[in-house]
Amino acid sequence: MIDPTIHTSRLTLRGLTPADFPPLADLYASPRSAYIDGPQPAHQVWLGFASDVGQWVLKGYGTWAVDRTATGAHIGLVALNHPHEYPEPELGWLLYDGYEGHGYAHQAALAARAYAFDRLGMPTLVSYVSPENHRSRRQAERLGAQIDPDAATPLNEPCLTYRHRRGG
Amino acid sequence: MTTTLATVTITTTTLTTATLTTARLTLRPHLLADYPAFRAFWMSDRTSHIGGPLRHEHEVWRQFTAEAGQWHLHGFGLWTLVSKTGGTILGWVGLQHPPHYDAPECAWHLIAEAEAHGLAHEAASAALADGWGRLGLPRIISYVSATNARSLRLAERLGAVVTERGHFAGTDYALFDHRRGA
Repeated sequence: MIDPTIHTSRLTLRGLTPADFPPLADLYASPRSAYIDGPQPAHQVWLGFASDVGQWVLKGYGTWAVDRTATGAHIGLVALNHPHEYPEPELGWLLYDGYEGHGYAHQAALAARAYAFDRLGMPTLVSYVSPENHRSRRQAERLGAQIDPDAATPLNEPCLTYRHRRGG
Repeated sequence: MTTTLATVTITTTTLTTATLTTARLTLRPHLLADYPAFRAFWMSDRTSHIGGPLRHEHEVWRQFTAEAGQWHLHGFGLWTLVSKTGGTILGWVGLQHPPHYDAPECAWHLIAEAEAHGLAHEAASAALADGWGRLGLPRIISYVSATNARSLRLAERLGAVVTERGHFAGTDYALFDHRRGA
């Protein structure tokens, strides 16, 4: 079983398709990607994109494309990420330009987190956030996550680890 | 299958893959259990013509999951080559189509011990037949490093012809076009 479709009140979370790649490649070519290890050339972005899909196949969780159900607009990604360099599974979110400020990331992250806790039985998730990324920090705090100062970080690089706990 | 949790509705999907068999090989999609063999290959000099060797474990994992993910994105991908007799992993062969490629590519990545027995030819022939037949692809290509003499010979033995030469990410390459029915 892979990439299930999830409907929330306003959003549809669905599996990635090749059509979702160009907006991600465009984002990684832009300065907006500074907080997500960008900029990166398209062939590197493709490797990460295909890898996100492969994680569903091999591990049973991964990245969803997020669409506005009312319009069908593809507005971003939400993910249960666990690449090798991450010490533990991460809840991540990304909205494309123009879709911030409507609570979409919050709603998508809540749905992905509920899937991880209720369906997969994960006890905890983290969100790695760059300290200067104030918008994402507020988002993590709104989700009830708390900074875990003792958590190991990807490749031991400096970043804030927000921890989500089941039932917390 | 559809399930309703408190506030969301979940619909599940399943993965479509294909498995092929040839005279000596089973070609099947990647399994988690293949990772140690995949890792040993990608961290070795065997991959010097295809973008390796990869130095970091997280790069190997990304490559592994990306190959597995392509099956779900495109309905085709690289297969793991398994010996029918011993069950040994011999390499990875199949079709892949990153967006910066001109068309789906037939690729062959064999471990050293599997070389010189015609196994790459056997697997690539099956992959090409699957691409022309089941998948109905209009064009299949192979990018081969200009200094990879063995791979250049295999492309020629498969009946492919060079239609372009170029340079990408530090490597001079020949672009081969495969011919249906070659």
